[in-house]
Amino acid sequence: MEKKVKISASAYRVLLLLQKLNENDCDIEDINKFFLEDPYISRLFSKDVILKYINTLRTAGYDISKPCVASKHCYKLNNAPVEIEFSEAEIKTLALLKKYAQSLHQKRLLENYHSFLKKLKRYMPNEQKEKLENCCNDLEKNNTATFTKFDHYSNLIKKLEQYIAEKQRVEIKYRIPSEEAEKLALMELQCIKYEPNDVCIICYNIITNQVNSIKISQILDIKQLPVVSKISQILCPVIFKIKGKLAEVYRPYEDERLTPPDAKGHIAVTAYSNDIESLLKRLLRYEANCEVLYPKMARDKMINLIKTTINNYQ
Amino acid sequence: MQNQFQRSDYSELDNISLTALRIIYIFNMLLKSPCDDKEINQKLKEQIEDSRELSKDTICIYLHTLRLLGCAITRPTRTNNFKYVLLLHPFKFHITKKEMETLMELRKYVSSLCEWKTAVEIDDLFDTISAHLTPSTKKLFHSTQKSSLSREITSNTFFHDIKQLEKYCKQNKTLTLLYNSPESGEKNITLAAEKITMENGAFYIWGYNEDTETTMYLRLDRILDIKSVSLRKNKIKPKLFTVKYKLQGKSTCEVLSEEDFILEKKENEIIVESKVRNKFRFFQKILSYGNECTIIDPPELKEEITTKLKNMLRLYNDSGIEC
Repeated sequence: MEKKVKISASAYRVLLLLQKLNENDCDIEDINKFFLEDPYISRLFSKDVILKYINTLRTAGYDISKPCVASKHCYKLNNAPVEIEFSEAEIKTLALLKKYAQSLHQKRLLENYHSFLKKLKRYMPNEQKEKLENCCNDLEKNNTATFTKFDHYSNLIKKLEQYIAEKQRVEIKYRIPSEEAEKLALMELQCIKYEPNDVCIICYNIITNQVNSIKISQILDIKQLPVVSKISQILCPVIFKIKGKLAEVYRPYEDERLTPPDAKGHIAVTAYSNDIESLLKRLLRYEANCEVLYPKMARDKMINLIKTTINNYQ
Repeated sequence: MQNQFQRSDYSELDNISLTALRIIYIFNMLLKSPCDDKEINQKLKEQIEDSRELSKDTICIYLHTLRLLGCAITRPTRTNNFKYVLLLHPFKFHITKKEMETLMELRKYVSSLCEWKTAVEIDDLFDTISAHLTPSTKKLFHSTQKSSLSREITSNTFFHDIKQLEKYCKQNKTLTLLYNSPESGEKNITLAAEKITMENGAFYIWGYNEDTETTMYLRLDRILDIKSVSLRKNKIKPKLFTVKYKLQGKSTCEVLSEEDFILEKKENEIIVESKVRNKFRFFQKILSYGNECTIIDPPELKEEITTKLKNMLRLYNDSGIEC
């Protein structure tokens, strides 16, 4: 039988309240719900008692905002009960990450980073919060190409992000510089991909059943269609074999799965790639240490790619 | 800590729980450093006027209250100098999966920009954040890190201090490194350190090897030890060879590196001259352009790449796989 330990019941309630306020803003009703659900309390308390507990926390030095309409009548613990100290370099990195999140122009990234930073600030000592604020302000003035190169596409990125979230088909008109004619395609948008100097949209072409990567600088026009994406497109895996020493040190990409090495030390890689052309070009780099096995279409494309490259030298 | 308790107004006594206040104060004491019964009483007296001496049993009840809430506090034993040590508390930092994924996306983006210094700083920051997360959030953070940054080599896996290596590069020091080569296993490699770079999610040190008269680049996570650092400064001029190649089609839009110089630009074709430091890396770059690239000069490199391509084709002709 478990030994029953003696505790201070009222102190336990005050500390539980502190813990709950640290997790979320709470109103009297929420607080009573926690108390009722807690196996060591299991009862409700009057508003006066709860106010006494809040007052205890305030007396202990915790900054708890008064409930108001703006806070939805909730009590808010402005600083966490413990502090996290960051080095100067870490504070600068926190500010830098904010600047990078801004430079990518995606609402989702910025919102998530802001909410992370807001939570983190509760744990930071006041002087560190100030330093962070100063670093962010200093970086605001930094308009180097690293942070401004996608500014030109800001609206388009936001529009694409919205279309992705809304899961509706789109009609994209685009032009590849090496090809004269404009292209028009019905697409289902998947994700936005950033390259060092370009932003691409990865999309599924409904007509060709292929996944394309289109640089957004090549998009001439994009229209959202009143049709919800219906095709749950499954990427066709490409399986390739890696041999030799490369098999021992191969680092799989995010969309790749490895099999354990066979008796000869070879590994098979299954790549769920959304851009087979780019995948095959990458595999060329592995020279004779790599062989595309499946599907036949990818294997034939690889053979053709090697042959046409050899033809360049004949 | 912000919550240094100072009770000056006794009129508030009825409106607060004094026991809770004492326990909060003990918690804050333990956050700073381990304490024994005597220190707890002494510090409480400093904070609360007329504070009565707490008995061992009362302190025990107070600590049990904290334990029930999720604090892990050791019992005083000889090994911890008869002090209470706070090992864990329930006020740790928590972040959502979405926030974690955003952090990883930003780290990946920085890596794609080849900004190794920022990547190292982000890795350090992630370590600090992870140390303050609740156990379950920490577990999720590490699994998100592992899945989202599967190809990224994080700088905390290095045995050496990357900033020290950077100093050696700035001073062009000759280093003898114990390197775990994928080709030939562990071996000593001597090079005149030049620079640190980041590429495809991995960190590299570049340097000139006098024995082979080539510029080498070694993955930092494969360096097992720095065997020696020469005191003399080197003024070695690395051997470069000039290559001319042609890019066509979509590849003409690719961004060229600082070693490349465009000689000629036509509508769908560019001729590039490149100062090559490492032949292996150059071939990798040329091959990744596929059939949109042709080496024009020198002839021996043309021959070498043709041999490579023919070997690749032979692989497909010999294996006889029918899909």
